[in-house]
Amino acid sequence: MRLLADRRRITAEHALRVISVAMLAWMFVWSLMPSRSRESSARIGSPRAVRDSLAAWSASAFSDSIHLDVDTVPDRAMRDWLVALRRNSTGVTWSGARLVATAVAISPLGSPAGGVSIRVAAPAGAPIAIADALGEIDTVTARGGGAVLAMRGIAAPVVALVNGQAARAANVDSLVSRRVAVIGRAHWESKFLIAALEESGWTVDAVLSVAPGVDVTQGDLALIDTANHGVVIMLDSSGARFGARVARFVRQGGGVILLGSSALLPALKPIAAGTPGARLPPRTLGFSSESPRGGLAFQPLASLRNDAVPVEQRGGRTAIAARREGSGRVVQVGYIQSWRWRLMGGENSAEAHREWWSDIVAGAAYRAERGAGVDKRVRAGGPPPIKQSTLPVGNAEHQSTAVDTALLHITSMRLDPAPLASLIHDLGPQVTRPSGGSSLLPRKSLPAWLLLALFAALLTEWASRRLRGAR
Amino acid sequence: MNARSRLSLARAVLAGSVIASAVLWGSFAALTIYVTARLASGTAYEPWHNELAVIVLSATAVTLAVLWRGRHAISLSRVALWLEEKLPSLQYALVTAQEPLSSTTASALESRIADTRWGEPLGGATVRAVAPPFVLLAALLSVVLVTGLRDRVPIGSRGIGIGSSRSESGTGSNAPSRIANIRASVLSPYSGERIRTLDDPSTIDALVGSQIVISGAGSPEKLSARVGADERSIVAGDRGWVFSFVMPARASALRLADRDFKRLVVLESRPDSAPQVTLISPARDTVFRVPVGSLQLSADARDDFGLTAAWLEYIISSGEGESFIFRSAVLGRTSIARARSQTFRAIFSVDALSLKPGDIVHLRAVARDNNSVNGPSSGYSETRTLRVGRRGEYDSIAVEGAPPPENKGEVSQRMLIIMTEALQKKRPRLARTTVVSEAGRISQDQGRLRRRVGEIIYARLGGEGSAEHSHEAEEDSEGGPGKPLTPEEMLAAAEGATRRGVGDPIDFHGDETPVVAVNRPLLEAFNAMWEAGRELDIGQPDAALPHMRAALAAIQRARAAERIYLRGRPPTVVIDLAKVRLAARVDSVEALKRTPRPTLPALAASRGDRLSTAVALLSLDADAALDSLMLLRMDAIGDAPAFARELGVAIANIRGGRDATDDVLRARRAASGEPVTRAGLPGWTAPR
Amino acid sequence: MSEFVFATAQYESGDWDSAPLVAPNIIDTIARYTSIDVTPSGVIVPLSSPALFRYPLVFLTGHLPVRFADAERLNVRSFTERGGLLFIDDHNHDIDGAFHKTATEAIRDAVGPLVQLPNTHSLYSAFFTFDDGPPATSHELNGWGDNLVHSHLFAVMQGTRIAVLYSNKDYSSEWGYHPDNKRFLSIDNTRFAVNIVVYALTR
Repeated sequence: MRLLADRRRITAEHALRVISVAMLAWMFVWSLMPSRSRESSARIGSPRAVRDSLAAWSASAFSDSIHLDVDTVPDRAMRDWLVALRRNSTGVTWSGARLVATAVAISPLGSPAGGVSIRVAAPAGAPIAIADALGEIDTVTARGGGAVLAMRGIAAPVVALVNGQAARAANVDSLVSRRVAVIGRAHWESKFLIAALEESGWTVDAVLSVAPGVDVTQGDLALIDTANHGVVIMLDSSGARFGARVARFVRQGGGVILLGSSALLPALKPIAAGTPGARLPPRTLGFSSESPRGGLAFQPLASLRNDAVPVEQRGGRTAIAARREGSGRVVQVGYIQSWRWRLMGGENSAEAHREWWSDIVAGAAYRAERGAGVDKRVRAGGPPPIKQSTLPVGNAEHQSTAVDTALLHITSMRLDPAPLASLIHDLGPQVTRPSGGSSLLPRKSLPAWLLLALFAALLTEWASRRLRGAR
Repeated sequence: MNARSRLSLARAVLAGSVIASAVLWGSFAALTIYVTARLASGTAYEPWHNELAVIVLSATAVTLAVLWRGRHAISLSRVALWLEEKLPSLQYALVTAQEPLSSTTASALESRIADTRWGEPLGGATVRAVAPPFVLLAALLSVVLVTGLRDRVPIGSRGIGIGSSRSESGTGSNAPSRIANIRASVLSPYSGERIRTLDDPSTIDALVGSQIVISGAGSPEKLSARVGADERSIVAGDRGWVFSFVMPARASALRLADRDFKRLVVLESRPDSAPQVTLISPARDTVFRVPVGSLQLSADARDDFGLTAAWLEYIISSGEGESFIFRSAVLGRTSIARARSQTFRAIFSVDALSLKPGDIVHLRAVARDNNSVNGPSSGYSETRTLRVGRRGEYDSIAVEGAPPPENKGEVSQRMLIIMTEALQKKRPRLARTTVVSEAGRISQDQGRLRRRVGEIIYARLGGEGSAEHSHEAEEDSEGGPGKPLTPEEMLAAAEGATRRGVGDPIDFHGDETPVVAVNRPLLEAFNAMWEAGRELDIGQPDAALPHMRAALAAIQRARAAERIYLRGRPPTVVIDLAKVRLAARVDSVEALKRTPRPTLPALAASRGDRLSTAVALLSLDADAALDSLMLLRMDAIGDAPAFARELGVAIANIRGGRDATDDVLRARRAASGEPVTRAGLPGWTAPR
Repeated sequence: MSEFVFATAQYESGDWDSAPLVAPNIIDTIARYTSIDVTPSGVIVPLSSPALFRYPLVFLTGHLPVRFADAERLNVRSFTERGGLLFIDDHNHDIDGAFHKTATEAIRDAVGPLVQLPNTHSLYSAFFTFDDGPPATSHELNGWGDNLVHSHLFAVMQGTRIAVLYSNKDYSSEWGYHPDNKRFLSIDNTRFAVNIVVYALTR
């Protein structure tokens, strides 16, 4: 009886040994031969969860295909990681019903005074929080495709946060501002327009007619071309002799700003955005901050061409319109005697008038790009960039190095101006989650369970042997 | 005391020595690790909690180790054996005495033990245990105190900030910086303030011209100091080195250098304000009909630091045309002993000045402060003009109109409205004839008021008579009320009266001529009164009321309107531009060249950029970044006080190791302005 | 609407209207020599009024003391800061007179100290060329007033721009005649006014 029991016991021990060896063999084969049927699927909300899963997947090489169901777009590093997995024979798909399509773009304002324009694309009604390296800048609710923010003193990179989705961008443009030509009669508008531009840092060439054959001139307007000038401002019809040259300049890619009757000059009428109408009186008696140009009379721009874009409207009429003429730009301004704003608009009116004109000129000016890189603006006639010599003398060299290091740090940060678009670019369009996928937990822990079973079998076999006195 | 008691005492001494030794060795280990960490970290500041954990663990380990090593001091038998070893003369009596013995043996042993002195071995052991760690600890502490390492206490931070209040930088010498701890004494020369002493300041705020003495420890050799661009000489003083300078008029930087150590102190100068003077009496300009009597003059003066003198001064202008004579004098000069406010008075005797018709007295009050550095500053009151009227003149400079010379009996428009409303209210109870009669009386008053308004309009326009008179003549001739003039007709008549027939001669509100702009409300009132009078004449007070209210509203507008008080009526010369345009030959005009205006410093942009750069530098070189921020603040003190204020708060927080993120953001807003946000993407943007 | 309106400043303390014919005379001169769009008659604008800012060039003259009221001082300061030019002429032609003493003090308090304008300044070549600086007036040459021929004008500069132009030369008397009488002059003595206007309109 006892012998029978011992034989059974020995048989069981053999069986356990066989099972152990079989499990070892299976694990060995499994590790060498990845199966096409294996799949990992993750429902992941936070970036940390994605990062953790990525590390696990990469370390174990467990899955042959991965499906992500995400609430926010994985950041650029994680996307690169996923792309790397995909390029190493791991199928990666994704889905995200609640992902927000957002993008941020930064461009220099074009004014010699500096500053950047931050444009954020976001769904209508979505709150947008904009921040930079220093901290929060402002919040705005998206409307009509997004929002725009303009500011000076931005510390790149800029982050736009829309419904928890961050888009990150930095200004990489480097532009050359060219001279501005002003042509018109000598009157207050020409004086204060030129003053506003020069005070803003623009270099101005001017021809101001004082008497027949007598002009007050500044700079050289013998040759108006895109190598010398970025924009020409035609104040009135006194510049008829320049009309053909200005039209040619625009077709070469230059910009022109037309005021008053200059749009009626034969050479410029074909490129104007519209026709200046009858003079309308100011809408308000004074100049308020809410409607700073409400105190100006204006000639509404009528008969706008089809390709003209109304830039500013007042009382349902177009006060400023713009259009492209070939590769050039035409901005037509209907406001009359804007100098009154500067003088009569109150304490900060001179600055507001200056910035307004500088922005209009920047919106029309031809500028050549200087390649990409860190924004090291070349200012034509503008204030020089900040020099480190303004910092403590003894530390100049040291600080210069430090600043360069800081800039290097900033530019090396991973920018992600359009996360969802980049995700689609990197991983393809989203797919619906494959059905029938088993849960991740048992698959992920299967090797551990197998190993545990292996140890248990071996322990049992060893204990059984030792208890019956065998070695 | 028996042997056991003595043994217990010895054990207590030895145990105490062990504990003291353990604590000292632990402290020494902690301080050693701290100093090593500080020296090794240089300018990089490690988070405090990491360092603290290492220090505490190390100190605890060393302490425990020493305690473990001396653990036998707690055992009486081990102490007894130790004493037996140190004192062979005991001959094991002490050890044996710990055993249970007979009384005879015990007393023999007690006597032997009592004969032996234990003080020397116990004292020696205590000294050997405590002295080495004590000496080492004291030496290390001395080094720390002398080198100032204690100031480098790291403090945790989040966001924008650094972990140090260190203000000097530089390496290259083992000797400590002599500009690390400075003292500034500020003495304002005339403000009466006491000497202020500032220890280790980063900003010195003082009145312009204040004497500032900076001192520090050490010799003055190879130390340098610059105030702005001016080098200051440093001499030996009581504390070590010392130099002085006068607070400049504008915010500047004081730069101190000691070998490679550098230090920046912002000099924030406060200007002295000029006195503010108010002429209390006379309160307004006046016209004397007859230059007799005297005037009581009084004025009030205030100053931020103190007044020294105040007086009233006048100029008398006599003459007319191109010939004028001026006399001037001072009245009531008062010396003031540094009072911050003072009221002073004088009598202005008109009789004594022999004023003649047409003479004008310009009177004002003046006060002077005690600014002995770049002053004294004088403050002036507004000037009052006292004029002696000419007989029969018309001059509107007397802005405070004298009461009417006779009561012409005009009833105000407001009163007329009240009367008409009362009539309308009781109209249902009155007979029609009564209503017509009472309305007619009101109409007569309305007519008188209307004529008065007409006179004012035509007096302004310079007409001798008014259109009203001719109009009334027409009315009379036609035997009834005629149609009132429209504003345009009235204006045409008015313009005719001033011979300004040309269109749009003067740029004015909404393209109106001054004639129109000034008189339009009164003309509206005039016409509304006319309409009201007509309705009242036919006994329709309800129909008259809207016109009367319109007239009142127009009068109110006229009251609030901009006024031009014509002093006289200069001859109106209107140039016939078409006739004279380019009539003259221009043959000597050379090429007319304009020179560009200088660019305004883009302060907002550059300050924002400088702020961003300096903040980015904080994590790399905190001292350099702080210097940059302080210089930025110094530049902004004069023309951007709000930015300077916010930046000052940020600097203070950064220096204190606190989070300064919010302060920096506020400072940036003050520097760069509010961001301009606009919902929606524009259809036209700057070209890329 | 015409662009250039000749404005005469009205101030509280003095006889601001002492030279009423200067405005039409200058307007006439501007029309004669230039194509500048000018109104046929001038305006009078109180220094304390917001209307001051409608006229970036303002002429101020008088014989009597000039003491700006607070509102006038603040207005003049803002006016010049925003780009206006105030042209002041001493109708007394007396450097020791009340107008000069008080006007220079008032301008110093309101805008800043007057400095001598070099005779090479672009004002003197803004239209006509005056190599010797400001043209002398007959009042100076006849020895009236302070019996001096003033060789320079004075100015308060803001950057390179003239914010306040100050004259002791009594152009108020020199130009104070009806423009029709210009035909009796062999050389138009108001030509310097063209320079002032062109300078104001172009700088």
